[in-house]
Amino acid sequence: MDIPTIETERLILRGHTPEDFPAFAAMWADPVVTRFIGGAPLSEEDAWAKYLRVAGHWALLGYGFWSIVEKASGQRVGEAGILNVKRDTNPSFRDVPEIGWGLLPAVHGKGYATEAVKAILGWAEDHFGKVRMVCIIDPDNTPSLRVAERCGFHEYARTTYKGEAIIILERLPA
Amino acid sequence: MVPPILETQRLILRALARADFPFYAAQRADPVVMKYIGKGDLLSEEEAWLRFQSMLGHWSLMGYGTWAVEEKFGGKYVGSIGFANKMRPKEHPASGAPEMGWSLGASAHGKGYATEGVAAALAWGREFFGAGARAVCVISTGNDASIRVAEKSGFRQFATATRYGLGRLVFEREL
Repeated sequence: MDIPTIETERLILRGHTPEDFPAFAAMWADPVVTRFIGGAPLSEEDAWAKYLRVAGHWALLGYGFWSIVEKASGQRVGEAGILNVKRDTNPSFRDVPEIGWGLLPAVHGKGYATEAVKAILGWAEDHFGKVRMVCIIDPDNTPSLRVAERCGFHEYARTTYKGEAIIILERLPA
Repeated sequence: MVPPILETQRLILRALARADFPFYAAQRADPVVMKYIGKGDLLSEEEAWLRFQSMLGHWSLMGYGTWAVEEKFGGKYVGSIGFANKMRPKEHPASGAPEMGWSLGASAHGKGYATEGVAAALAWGREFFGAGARAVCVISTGNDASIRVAEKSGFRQFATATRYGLGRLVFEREL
């Protein structure tokens, strides 16, 4: 499956390549990144399984996660995309596309996440039509909650997932 | 990379498809199948879905991977067989070589399917990795059925390992 490339003012969103794996593994071994996503840094072996999953998700479902490349530096600075991972949550959102994002601490605070998520929401509307979308965020992750709000998401439930508190947010079609 | 289709006397090895997932998930929730896999824990549907995606993604990224095993007569999905790079730590005796794995649903046990499918995968692997390349497999201590499959398939045990506090036997062979 050819993963589409999306360009924004400052970013390029493209599929992961085999050469991305060291940067991918380094990002997921960073406790600042995993503090609000998953809760613990990943070993190289676990990062590899996660990396393989991204390619499998695209192949199976025709959508998934992109690598985010900063145009100015040409560096991979994070990832964002749309997921269906059959999460066991209550309330359940199993049939609703879920959006997610994660950026390296070095580029936090520049508005990159908002820029990438808005671009992905545009792609999603072309791909799925006007549909409801969700995201889950740790209640202490204030920067990500602000990204979600700027992109039109609103809280609709608070629950736990794998023993951690989460907020589920939704974005209703315009 | 689209996985090639391999045919044996009784089996077809082909790409995993979305329609296989319910059968895969059912096997990952069956204590008979899971007894010697990982910690022996049953997988939730969510956990099974992540593994299923990884198996598919392995083909796209590495050009080799795990096939769905289908019974020729009736077309039923009975399990999976293939090669993986598991990115094991360098100190693990199975590190650095393509690792074979196989897993069949309980109703397909005891028929020689694993040995039959592994032979077809090994023949493909000889072409892909090159004759003489080393392949490995890792089997839980006590999993006598799989140990027999490995031995019949030309693997020799050369090391042991521990995972989750449980014993593992590590096998190798030349392709």
